[in-house]
Amino acid sequence: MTAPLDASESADRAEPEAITHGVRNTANRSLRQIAWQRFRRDKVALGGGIVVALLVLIALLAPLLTRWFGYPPNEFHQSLIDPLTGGVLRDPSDPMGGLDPMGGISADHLLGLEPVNGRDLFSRIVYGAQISLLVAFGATVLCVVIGTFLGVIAGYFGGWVDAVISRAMDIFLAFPLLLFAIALAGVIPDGAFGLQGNGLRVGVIIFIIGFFNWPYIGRIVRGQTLTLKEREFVEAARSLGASNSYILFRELLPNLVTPILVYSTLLIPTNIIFEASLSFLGVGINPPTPSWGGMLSNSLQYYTTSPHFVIIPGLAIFITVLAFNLLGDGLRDAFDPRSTD
Amino acid sequence: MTTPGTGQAPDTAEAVVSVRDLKITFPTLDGDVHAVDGLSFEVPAGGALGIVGESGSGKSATSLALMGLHRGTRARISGELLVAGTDVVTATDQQVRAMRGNDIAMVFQDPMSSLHPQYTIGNQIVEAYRTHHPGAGAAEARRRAVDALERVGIPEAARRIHSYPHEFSGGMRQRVLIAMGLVCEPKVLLADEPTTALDVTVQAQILDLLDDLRRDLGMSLILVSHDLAVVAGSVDRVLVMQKGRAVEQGDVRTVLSEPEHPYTQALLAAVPRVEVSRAQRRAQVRAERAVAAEQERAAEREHGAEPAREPEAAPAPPPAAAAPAAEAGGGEPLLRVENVRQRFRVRGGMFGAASYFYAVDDVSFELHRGETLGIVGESGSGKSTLSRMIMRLLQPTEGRVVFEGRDITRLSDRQLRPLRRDIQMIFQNPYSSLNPRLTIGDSIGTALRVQGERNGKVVRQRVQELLERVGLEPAHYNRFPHAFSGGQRQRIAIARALILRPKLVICDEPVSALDVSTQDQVLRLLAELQDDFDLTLIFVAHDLAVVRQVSDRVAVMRKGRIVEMSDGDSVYEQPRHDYTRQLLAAAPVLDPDEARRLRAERHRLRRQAGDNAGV
Repeated sequence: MTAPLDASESADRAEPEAITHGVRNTANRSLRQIAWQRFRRDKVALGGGIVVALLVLIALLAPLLTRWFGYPPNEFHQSLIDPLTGGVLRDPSDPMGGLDPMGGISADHLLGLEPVNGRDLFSRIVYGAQISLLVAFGATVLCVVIGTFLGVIAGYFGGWVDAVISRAMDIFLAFPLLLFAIALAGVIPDGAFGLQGNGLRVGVIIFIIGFFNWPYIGRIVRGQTLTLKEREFVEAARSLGASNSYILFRELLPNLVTPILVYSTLLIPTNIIFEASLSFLGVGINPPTPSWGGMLSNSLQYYTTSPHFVIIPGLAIFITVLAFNLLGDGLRDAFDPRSTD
Repeated sequence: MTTPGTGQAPDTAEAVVSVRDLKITFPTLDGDVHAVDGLSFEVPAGGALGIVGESGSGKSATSLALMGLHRGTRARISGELLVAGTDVVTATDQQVRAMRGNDIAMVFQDPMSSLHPQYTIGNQIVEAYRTHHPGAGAAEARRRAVDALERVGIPEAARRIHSYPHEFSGGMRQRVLIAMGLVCEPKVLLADEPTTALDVTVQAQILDLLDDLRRDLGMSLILVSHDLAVVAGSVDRVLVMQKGRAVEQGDVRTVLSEPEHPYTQALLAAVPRVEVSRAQRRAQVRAERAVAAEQERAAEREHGAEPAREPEAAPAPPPAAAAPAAEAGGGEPLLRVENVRQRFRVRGGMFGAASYFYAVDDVSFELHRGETLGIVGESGSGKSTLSRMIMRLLQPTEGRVVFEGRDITRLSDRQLRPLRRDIQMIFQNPYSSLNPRLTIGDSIGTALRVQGERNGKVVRQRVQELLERVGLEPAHYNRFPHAFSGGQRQRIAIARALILRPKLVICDEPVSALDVSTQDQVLRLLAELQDDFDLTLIFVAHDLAVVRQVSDRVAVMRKGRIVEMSDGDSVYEQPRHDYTRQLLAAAPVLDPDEARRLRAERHRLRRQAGDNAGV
């Protein structure tokens, strides 16, 4: 056997090679950049993302869009409506000419007209997007803030802290949310918390959804924290003298951003549907402010004469929810270290 | 081709496995990765081949391809892969299924996750058998399963067949997996790092078992490992792989004694050897450093004297080999551990009372400045618990830890913070000890920030100096850990431990997660840094050879107690305790003949122990 003392030269030569070999060409990319690369190749998710971005733009630019392409959302166009059936006339100059099967969809009214009052549907859908997205985002942010904070604390400290928070989560999840929302909407007087009318309604809806849905995020964050805190880097930080709050917010939280982001994207569509359901049940946004759920609720009376009035708000909800879900799925795949390539 | 030597080599040269010009390519975002690039080899019936290489060399891709497990993945594969006459590349799925188990069986690396937790082991073995022998009755299959379990040395096989995987230890599970592979009597057994997750003594047992099986059943064996010493005693031929290619291939004795390729030579040189003492190793490392420093100076003179880059980190020429432990005995020891115990609570059943066990039980030692104490033991011996108590990540249940004359046993977290400057730790797994979401600059700088340094520039500068010192580039500051290999990550972890200029560094298995060649580099680095930073080290490991090379004194731990402690050489040369002797006999060695001798010795020891099995 070769004496160990003279075998070292080749070992030295092996060193620089081994070092450069290890650095992959992903070297300077962060995990997020890699995720973005993966995401870009996922055409379905990319499509979802684009639709979501468009929806946000539409909601933000609602006043401009309606000025350019439509009419004020609450302006009546009763001259175009058949006073007997409430449907949209085929030809406004000929009240006996029958109803328009397309519901008045034309260059003038892009998505047609509402029955009875003849309000421009395009404008109402565009303004409805504001309410839907506002409630969905607001409620989701509230969920995420409460859920992350309590979840990370429960997971990190464990013991009785964990027991208390986890039981609280169970209680919140067991709450009959919809009934509670209906009751609360009836009980809270106008002008409570210094808010009036729809401002109050939006606030209450955001509160109800956010305050009762946080355990979904909370459980995920708690679970992630439980596994993360076993990793040696947490012990390493402790051995450097880091305090609990430093470890929680500087070491653990950056690792939780991804799951939180992904689950928020998946929570948003649920919240959109929840808002629509509340408005549908009449405890959401007050008329005449347009909301998708409220429009759907109205439309059911006219589905024989004006089927488009059912379909269009339904489609709006459908497309929005689908887009958010596709985006969320895509994000999850892109960030998942186990997914191939 | 006949294989001389082992005497067990088959006389016919009929190859059961024949691989010609195998290429495996994985498409990735950054273009194709050629995991295996033109590999050819043959394994004769009854022969044994060792495939050795670092992680990323393509050895695992090769073994998966042999099993046809690349099917259904994105891997592209070309060439000819004949296993007992079936070409795995072109065969139908059905043919490949028939081949698996019947012709070739695989033993995976991690016995903990390779068995289904919800079925009894008997169930799983019977299933493996009946898949290939649909005509076999339940009784017949069960008899086969019991036979196979007996064959691999599971005591009371007929009873244990009803046990679930969690009722077995790691070594026993690996035996069960081997039994599962054996039940269909395959022509080839393919073992991919079968012992990497196991302790040294268990590793030796599993390797012995594989060797016995090959002899008794006339199977061929393909043993894949990153460690030449693991394959040395069990195979006739070795294939050394690097970056998807075979760099050297031949008879195990020839390759190990007269390696031709520089890569094989480097691998061999990197294998830690039990027989090399601390003094030899230190002298060697220092001599090499002196030569390297001399060359650097010469190069600098040539290039017009670039100013020296190492400001204050390293006094360039290593101090003469003055024994650092010289002052031992005189003065206050840096660290004194007195009768510490750590008790853990074990939960009873639903109504059962909780019981307690001592992970560390009455351990005492002293450690002087500049000294290195090696702590050796198998998993569960309490060595990690002990190091966490000294680090005060755990509070000892009893006993005292005294650092520089100060009792630190009961200090609060806040009181400990200033002390963290003096005691630091390097963790075992560089993949989990670095926060994946922080740049390495942030990770290393955390220590400074936590200790109150507010000036970002100072932090950055000191981190970059240290990065350079541990052999990385200052420009790596903003990279994330995933961009680095295991060895580089461990360098980063070392930098993090050193940034506070500690007096005592506890290394908890710092190299056990690394490939052999990387291990060697990291150990060298640690030795250099110990000289330069005047460190006192506690070096915890399960690998006897590694511990010997770095330690002035060695403590052997078993079941929470130190069974033997004295200066390194005497532990290795005149072991007093039986357990130490067992460990030494189990350590893998490079010399095939020596390995066989040790195997015989182990057989003798085991018989002596009265065949009371239990891994």
